[in-house]
Amino acid sequence: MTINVFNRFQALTPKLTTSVVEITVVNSDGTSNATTLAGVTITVIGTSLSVGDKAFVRGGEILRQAPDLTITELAI
Amino acid sequence: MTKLLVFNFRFGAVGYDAPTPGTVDFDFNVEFEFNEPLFNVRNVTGMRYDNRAQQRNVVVTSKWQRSDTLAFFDTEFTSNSARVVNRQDLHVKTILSPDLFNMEAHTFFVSDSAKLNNMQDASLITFNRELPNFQLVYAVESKNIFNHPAFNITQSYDNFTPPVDVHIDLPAYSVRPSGYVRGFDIVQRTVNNIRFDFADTAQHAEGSQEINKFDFSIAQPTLVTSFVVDDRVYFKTPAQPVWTGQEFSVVKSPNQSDINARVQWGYGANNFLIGGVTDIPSTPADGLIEEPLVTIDHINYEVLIVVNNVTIRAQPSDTAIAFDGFTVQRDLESFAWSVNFTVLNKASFDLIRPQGRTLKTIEVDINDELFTFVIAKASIQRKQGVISYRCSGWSPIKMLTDPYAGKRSYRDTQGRTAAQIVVMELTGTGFTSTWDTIDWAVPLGIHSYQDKTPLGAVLEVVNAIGGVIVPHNSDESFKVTPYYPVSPWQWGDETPNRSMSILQFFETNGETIPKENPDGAYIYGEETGGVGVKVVRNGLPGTALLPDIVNKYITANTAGQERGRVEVSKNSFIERITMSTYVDLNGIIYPQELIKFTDDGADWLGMVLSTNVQCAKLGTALIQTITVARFYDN
Repeated sequence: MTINVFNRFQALTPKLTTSVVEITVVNSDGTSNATTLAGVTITVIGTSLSVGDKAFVRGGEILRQAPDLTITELAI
Repeated sequence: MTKLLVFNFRFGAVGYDAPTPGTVDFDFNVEFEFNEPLFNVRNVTGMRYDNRAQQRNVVVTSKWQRSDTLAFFDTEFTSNSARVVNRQDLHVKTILSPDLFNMEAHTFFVSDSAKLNNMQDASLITFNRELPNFQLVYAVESKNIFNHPAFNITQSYDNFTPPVDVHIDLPAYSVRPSGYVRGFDIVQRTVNNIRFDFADTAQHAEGSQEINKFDFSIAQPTLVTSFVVDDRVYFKTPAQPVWTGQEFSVVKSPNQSDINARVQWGYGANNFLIGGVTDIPSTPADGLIEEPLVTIDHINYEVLIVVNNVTIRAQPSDTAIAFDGFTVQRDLESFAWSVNFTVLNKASFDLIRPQGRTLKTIEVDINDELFTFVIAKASIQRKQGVISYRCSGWSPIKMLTDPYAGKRSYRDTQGRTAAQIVVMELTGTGFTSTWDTIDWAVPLGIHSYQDKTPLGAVLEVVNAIGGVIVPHNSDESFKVTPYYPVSPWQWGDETPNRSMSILQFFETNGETIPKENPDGAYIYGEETGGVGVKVVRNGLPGTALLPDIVNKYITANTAGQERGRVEVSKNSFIERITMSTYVDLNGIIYPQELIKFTDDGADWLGMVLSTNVQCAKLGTALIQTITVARFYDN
């Protein structure tokens, strides 16, 4: 939780997060199956991308194609 | 109720067409006609009355003795008529029979009326004889007589008419003749009396129709505003309440500030109030202090007396501002300090309030720690006769933000590091920055934005790695640091900035939202040229992940790692504890300080998230309230 009063007020409004997924199946019903970076399979709305593409997803909907970046695991 | 009208009547018998004194005895009458019934007539020497009380007419009869050269009598007329409220309400006409010359009638009133205010108050005029065709014309009636022409007298001579004298009483006011005065000499002028005598004693021919006019005005008395006694100048001021410099709430009673308290055995210093006094000397005589009944074992307490030095000064004149109290505060997520304070007088208020496009700068000095603020808000409150002036301001860095700074859209034309981007954005603003966190290369094309202020553009870069802007207290500069310079799970390896006992705080409030700590997160670049990073807390599986974090400035692994570290830290189970203590010799506790708290044997570490310094009673009490982040690992 944030300390700043203004930021806390803004946090009252839910904000959609952007996730990165890889398209695995393009369905005929206007949706696509995708895998998140953590390996979880989800269904997202949109068929604009091809299988194997990375996508930004917000609110369960494909936002646009994401760059295909290599994930490096680093300790903190 | 009862009004007194006093005539002081004096007559002589020297002059034209008059009985020669000492040669003739004769009776004469003086008849007074009043506009209101009389209640009483008294104090008449050597006279008798034909009628008196409850009458409008009084006839006084006396005998002129040949041996007399001068006769006079004093008379008081009293009326209890309801219509007689002021002296001008009682008018009199004097008729003397037979005609006497050189008779001088002094007529004046004694009354408990209000002071001379209106023209009517000056209308009491008597003449030494009844004059035919005589007109008294008031130039200004029912007006404030000061500095106005009072009246004109017009006299036409259609008979062999002796000179006329005019005698006017103006109690307590000086008279300033003005304009044309024909045929009259001012023979007497004192602070409260003026007399015009017709100087020409020659008769005027019948039908000469000569007209005498004159007017005069009455000068308003000069008010005495100051006088000197023993080389001291005293100023006369109206009786009025005097502003003491202390404000009290309408609904709250004022706090008692001076308290006599005896320090008790034991931890009595805890009960010793600010502003209190003790009657125990520092080296008390034997027996002065009663020994406790039981032996008390306690640690060797110290009593610290802190004398705060707090000033607010307008810049650049460095003029001290009279203020009552202030609050200076900043939290870690704010890029500016803010100040609120009450100004005690208008002179100080005018020095610092915003005027047009000009915003004033002040310096707040708290025990030699200087804070610079730009005053952007000023208000005046008038409530129940009490005027209070309030001002608010921020660190100058606020001038780099909306609405004080203009916005622009921009696309960088070359690749730079994050620190270089900030330097570029500050060019021309007068501000400088110190980059005190991870720096990384941002390729060409990434740093581009639409409609942002200089600080807005800087924050885009800073937020990308979970950084915060720490403004300099007094200079036009700031520092960029991580939100958590050290990850909470690594605080134990750090040397704290200060150690404090929990007992030093007189108020502690906790806010706890228990939750599992995340142990990792994905951070992903938004554009080609970015990087993807998965951060995992050292030694943990990396399965309790935060939602993905996507940012276009994540173009290096170090940037992604830093952002992930800060996000995992911020989203861990952090108890926020608000604690209040006095500002002591160790000064103000700033955000991001790591403090080791000793709490009844169980020590713990916390990082300061916000600081609020309150000054009350002109620095007598300087209280700081801090919010501390306490980390709980799983």
